[in-house]
Amino acid sequence: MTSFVGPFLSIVLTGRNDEYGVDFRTRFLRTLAFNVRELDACRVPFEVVFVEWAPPAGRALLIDGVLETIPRLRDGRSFRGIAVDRAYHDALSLNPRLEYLEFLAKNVGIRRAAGEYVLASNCDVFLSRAVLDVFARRALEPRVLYRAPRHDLKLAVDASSVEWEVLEDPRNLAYPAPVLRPPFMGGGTGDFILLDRGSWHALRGFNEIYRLARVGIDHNFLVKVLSDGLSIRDIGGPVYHLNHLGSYRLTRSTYKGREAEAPYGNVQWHSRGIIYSNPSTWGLSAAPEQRDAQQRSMLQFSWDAVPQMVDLRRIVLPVARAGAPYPGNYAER
Amino acid sequence: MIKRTLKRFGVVGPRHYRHLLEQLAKAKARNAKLIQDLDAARADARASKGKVEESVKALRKRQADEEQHTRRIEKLTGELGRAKSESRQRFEAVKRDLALAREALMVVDVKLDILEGAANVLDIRTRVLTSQRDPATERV
Repeated sequence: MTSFVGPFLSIVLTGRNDEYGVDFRTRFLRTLAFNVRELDACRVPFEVVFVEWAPPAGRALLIDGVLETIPRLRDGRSFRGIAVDRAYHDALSLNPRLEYLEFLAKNVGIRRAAGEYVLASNCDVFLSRAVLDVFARRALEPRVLYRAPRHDLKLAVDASSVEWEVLEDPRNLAYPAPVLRPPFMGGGTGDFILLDRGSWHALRGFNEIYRLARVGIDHNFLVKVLSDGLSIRDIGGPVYHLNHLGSYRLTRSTYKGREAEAPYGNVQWHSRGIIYSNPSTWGLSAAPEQRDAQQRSMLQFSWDAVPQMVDLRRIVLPVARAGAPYPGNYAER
Repeated sequence: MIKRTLKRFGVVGPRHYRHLLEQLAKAKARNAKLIQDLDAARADARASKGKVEESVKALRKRQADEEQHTRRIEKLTGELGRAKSESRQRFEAVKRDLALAREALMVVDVKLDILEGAANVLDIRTRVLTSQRDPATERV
């Protein structure tokens, strides 16, 4: 029997250097530096797997920005940047309005993550002390998906120097602190999905068949998790998110009544009523990977790595399990 | 003395005789009236008896009707109970079918979305390719 050699935790993030969501680079680097510092303080062995999806030509990679800004991550183990050729986005997208295939990008990172547990999160999400404490105690179980409620902080909060006092001050909350409700524990799901690596691989990551939206793909994963007999649990503490212009929460009302035109896809798709079965090549595992620096690689485009454009057999109904919720209700669209 | 002697032999005087005759006439009249009353009472009794018999008959008929209604109510109650139970079963079956249909519809919706998305993407790619084609090399 071989012992596990990877870190305890892999944090999978995705982004690109196009100022998506306004001031993305600054928010990302500031948040990452904070989380890295606190993970070290709690002595949590970790790696950050950052997937730079379809980077725009002529702009510096964020991967390089990370390594330049946070020297701690230059140790050859704690950070891995993977840039994905823009051609994959063009070949995979089934919705020309979609600017970013966020969950396909996350699957690229999850597939390649080495940690015993893999956290899929977002670039502007701060871990809380309660969450860090769970990591420090290694108090996680396999086949349990851990969720954390997201505390949104007001736009007016000074983001230039974020510290615990700012994050934990209830006066800074933009909305009342949300409570995760069983069975799905949904709400801001994409900001914190933590699962053991074996389960990620058994489930084959986020939905890669329905490539028309990024909204709802995270909740769709929760439906699949329950259908596959795993459980979902609140980890016991929040994560923090600084509200910013261009965030989904602040822009979704713009597309009310014309949801199909939204750049994040149609929010009304049946993400709670169906599940999927990804092919074994999920996470672009067949894509040729060229390592062009110790901690940086590039997924080069190859049609061989691109799954079928349409694979309808892989869309299936979730299993209704005893004690689990009714998989989904039909919503008129 | 003579009066007393005649009285002893049952002989009465003319005044007394008239009085007795009046008494007799009155008694006869009373008797006739009583006979008349008796006949009327008998007639009333006969009428009442007829009415009672009619009432008894009506009562028996009503009792019979009531029993029939009770039996009918019991029968209808049973039928209603069975109909309710059948309706409930049918409702549950329809609910299950509806849930299944809705689930299937969700799958169909999602698959149609995918097909529509793919068609749109292919349409865009075709238009791009067509617009890039050199008309000089085209065969008519």
